[in-house]
Amino acid sequence: MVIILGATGVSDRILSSIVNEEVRLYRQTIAPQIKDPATLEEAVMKYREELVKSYGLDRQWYERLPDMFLRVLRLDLGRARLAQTFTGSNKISDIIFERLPNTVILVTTAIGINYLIGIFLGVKVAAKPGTRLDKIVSFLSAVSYAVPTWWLGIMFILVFAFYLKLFPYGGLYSSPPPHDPLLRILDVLWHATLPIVVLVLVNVGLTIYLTRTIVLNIAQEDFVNVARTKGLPEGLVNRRYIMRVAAPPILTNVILGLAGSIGGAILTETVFSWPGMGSLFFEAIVQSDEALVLSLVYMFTFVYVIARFILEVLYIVVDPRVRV
Amino acid sequence: MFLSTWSGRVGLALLTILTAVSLFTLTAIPISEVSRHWNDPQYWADYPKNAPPIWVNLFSNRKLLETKVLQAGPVEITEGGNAAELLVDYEHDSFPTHISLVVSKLKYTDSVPLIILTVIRPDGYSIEVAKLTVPPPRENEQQPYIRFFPTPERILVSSSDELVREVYKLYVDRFNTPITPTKIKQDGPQRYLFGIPQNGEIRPLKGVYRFILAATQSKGSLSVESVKIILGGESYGFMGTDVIGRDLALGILLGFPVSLFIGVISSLIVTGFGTSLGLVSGYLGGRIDNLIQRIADFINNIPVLPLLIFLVFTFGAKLWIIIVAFVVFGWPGLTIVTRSIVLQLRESQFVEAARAIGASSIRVLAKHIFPSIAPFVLAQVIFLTPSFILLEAALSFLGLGDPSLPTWGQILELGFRSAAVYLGYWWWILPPGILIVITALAFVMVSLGLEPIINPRVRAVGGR
Amino acid sequence: MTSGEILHVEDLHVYYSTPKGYLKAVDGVSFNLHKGESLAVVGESGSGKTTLGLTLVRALPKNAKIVSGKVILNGEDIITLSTEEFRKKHSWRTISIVFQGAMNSLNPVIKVGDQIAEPLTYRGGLSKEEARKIAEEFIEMVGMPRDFYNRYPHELSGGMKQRIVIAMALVMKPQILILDEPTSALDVTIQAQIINLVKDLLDNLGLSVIFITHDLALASEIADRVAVMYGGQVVELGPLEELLGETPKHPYSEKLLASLPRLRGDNVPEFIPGRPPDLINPPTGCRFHPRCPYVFERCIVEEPPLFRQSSGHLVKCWLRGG
Repeated sequence: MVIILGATGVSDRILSSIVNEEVRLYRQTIAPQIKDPATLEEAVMKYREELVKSYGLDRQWYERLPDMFLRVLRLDLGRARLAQTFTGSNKISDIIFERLPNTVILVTTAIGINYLIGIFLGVKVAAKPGTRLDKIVSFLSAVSYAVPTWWLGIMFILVFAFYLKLFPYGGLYSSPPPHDPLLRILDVLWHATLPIVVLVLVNVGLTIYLTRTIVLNIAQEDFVNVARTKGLPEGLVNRRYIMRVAAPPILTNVILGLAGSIGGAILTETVFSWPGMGSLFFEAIVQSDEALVLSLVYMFTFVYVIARFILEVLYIVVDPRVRV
Repeated sequence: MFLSTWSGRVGLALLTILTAVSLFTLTAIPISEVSRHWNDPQYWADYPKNAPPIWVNLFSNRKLLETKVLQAGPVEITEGGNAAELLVDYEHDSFPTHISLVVSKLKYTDSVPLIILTVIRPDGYSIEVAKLTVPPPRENEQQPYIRFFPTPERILVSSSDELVREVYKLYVDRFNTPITPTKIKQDGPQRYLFGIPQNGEIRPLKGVYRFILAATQSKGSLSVESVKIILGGESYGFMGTDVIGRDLALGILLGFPVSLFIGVISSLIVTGFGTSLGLVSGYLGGRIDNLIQRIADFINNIPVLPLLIFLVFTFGAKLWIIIVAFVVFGWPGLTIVTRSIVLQLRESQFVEAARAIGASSIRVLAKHIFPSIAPFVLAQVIFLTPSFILLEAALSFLGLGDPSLPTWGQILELGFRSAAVYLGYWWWILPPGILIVITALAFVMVSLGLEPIINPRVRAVGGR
Repeated sequence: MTSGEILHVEDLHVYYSTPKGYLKAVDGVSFNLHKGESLAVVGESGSGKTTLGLTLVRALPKNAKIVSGKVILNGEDIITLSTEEFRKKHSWRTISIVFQGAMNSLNPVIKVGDQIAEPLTYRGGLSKEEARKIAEEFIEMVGMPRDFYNRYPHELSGGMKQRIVIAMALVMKPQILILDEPTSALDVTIQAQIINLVKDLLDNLGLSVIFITHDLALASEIADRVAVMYGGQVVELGPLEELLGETPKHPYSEKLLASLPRLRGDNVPEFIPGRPPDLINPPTGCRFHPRCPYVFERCIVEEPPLFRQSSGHLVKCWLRGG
């Protein structure tokens, strides 16, 4: 990612814009103090030179890479052009930190519920393939896969907010937000309900289907038959011989689904005006705010890598075959 | 065949319907004309905005007015005579949203005519509604003089001050209603034109209204090719209109072939490219294999939507760019799976045998390996199509679709942006989305139906 | 039941229901097994031998049905028991099986030792430690180090897996062990090891063994008696020496013997022309008649019974009686 951006010169532009912004601010700050325009210009020029050196704009982009990594790690990301936090700061790191928890609340809850329901139903259905229940669930799963996240979102708004007036149209809090902390939390939950339900409904179909396929495949393996012939109780066979063996491939699917959930977050947050990283990303792109876009890409990658790492560690725990 | 599965049957039925509608659309509707004007508000000027479909009237007590277009012509006007008379039988409970007069291709000789439009109400009062001035002959122009061609002359009668004055006169002199011209102008004079005071408010006056178009001309002849009077209604068409006034039925019909096209083409290209790479990678092995696998793995781990948004935004929202982006993200999945199948097949005995006889690699690939993976490839094309349809819809929804193509996602994008959701314009929001779902569903069901064939273990019971 | 007889199978019919009709995998099989004896069931793929094995331990798939017959184990007809009851009472305790394909008989995510110990804890009521000790003994018994208890299947070679599966089958000390093609996926040297192992176990544990295979040569290494199956039926049943010797036998058995390659000697192995019979619509009369070199009219029309050739040797062929 970084390399692509560097090579296309986008990095250069971004850093220049960061430098320009800082120079501008500097100029604003010192202008009241230095009356003489010539001296002012000189001072600004000097500052600019310093900045250019420190950001490494006087070197080639590939020389800057290690520097850049460090800067990202320290979260020294510059300022956004248009976006702002609640409190008015436009430092990118502030904006991101303000929005990150919102996205985490939404996405993590949705993923959690999705897999809880999905795996449970998938296993239930795999136990009786070909029955009516199986057919109904398969059909509903297909529908769930076919429904676009964002459309279901606006449909829900239409039905539940406009017609039934049960839930809010969007946003994180009501305005004004309640003072009492407990009420505040409930308020957030109330606002989060529709987006979470949408995220779950749209993804659960695929989860059920994949789980069902995996479990069905495993249930027909020889060792399951052996376990039953050994006279082991059915519950044990289910847990140890089917579910334990199904855990690695199911986990693989969870990992694969991670990347998709970022897309889902972007769409849902935009539809529900939920102030999170997803809608921020979209706003940044539309506003051509390069610095913000870049920072968000870094953040996404970072969060993704962490999540993936955790899951892969979990995978090693679950599947002895990959242990060294 | 796979038709034995209920899922396959349903899917195939849906697909047939979709294809039939697409074919119908392609043949029956002048697509290029509609898509050219799709984004041109002028073209839709006569249509009501944000209007629900006509059949809503079936379900509600309050009958909404449909947009009525009264048309007459071609018409010859003799001296002092009436040019045209247009009738409308008004039985509605609401008022028109606007009144327009549209005159096309007027031909006259000698002196310049003056055209006047008058309305005779059911209660007998007659009101002069509009005066149309015809441009005089230019220097060196030959007779007959042709005006309002090719662009018709369009007068928004309901915003003319003359109408306001006439209505004011009627209400003050005949009806003794205390009213000011400002209020008439604010409410829209057409309300009063079609209304009568009752119990302190203005109610629609039901009955036959006669619109009379008359011409005065001191000398010469006059003919008009077509005269239209448009009473803007509150409902329109089969599927209603959006904020620009576009007939949503057209937009939705056009969406059929477009979505199918995008979905199928993208998935064909991606499958073709990905499978070929997978074949090469699996069969040749070695460093090429490693390289391809690395790249595939890398791409596979990238979250698609953010990057897709980024790419389209940077490089432009054109259809072919979008398809290229789809291919760039789509091929790894196919390559990885094809490769693993090829790896298995490569070690199989019939391949060994073929090579022992001395068959060239290409021959082995084509005649031996490909037939084994062909069903899988076909299944993939079918399975991938809905993903691309959905992706394109998502992009359009975010505003990054190709604006020259009317797609369902775009209709919804405008809807969201125009707050149609918050205003309850269900006819705008519901149909395009449902159609997206049905289209994607058709392909998914077919895929589901094919699954027991490709993976026999998933059938209801096994046997040994 | 004569003395020493621990298993008596009488006129067993086991069919699979398929879309094309009933597949008669086992169609009238009778034989018996004595204590301490090893019986080889020999036949081609599709002869019904695997189904026979599965039936004896009630491990049949869902579309299979035991249509009729008796299986008398220690005086009790186990066909009358439900699968549940059989599993509780006899499965693994009295009669046990090593399925075809050891590779797939083991759970990939559980330690192999635990898999051996499972029946002891969950059915035998032993504690985890006790079960572990016994499992380790069995691991040693099949010729592997005790600490292999903690290994996972993917860490073992094919031959080792096979031994584990055998240990697993014996852990409750059953009277009868069924082995279904225990060596077909292994190479020849390992094959020999496994066979020797089975022979030792046979002697040391006083087991009775049913050894299912397509390989007559292999069977001859271990069997006391041989049952030859063709088309879902037992066509010959008798002591090994008689089968290998000069006693007149079933034409199919003749062909089987002739098809064995010899390391020394000139003979060219023969093959049996034709294909295995369709078990949904088997041939009329004697099922082997389409491929039999001695076929005559009666063979096509009437199914022969088992004719006694000598004490304990039966042949199902019109040539040998009637």
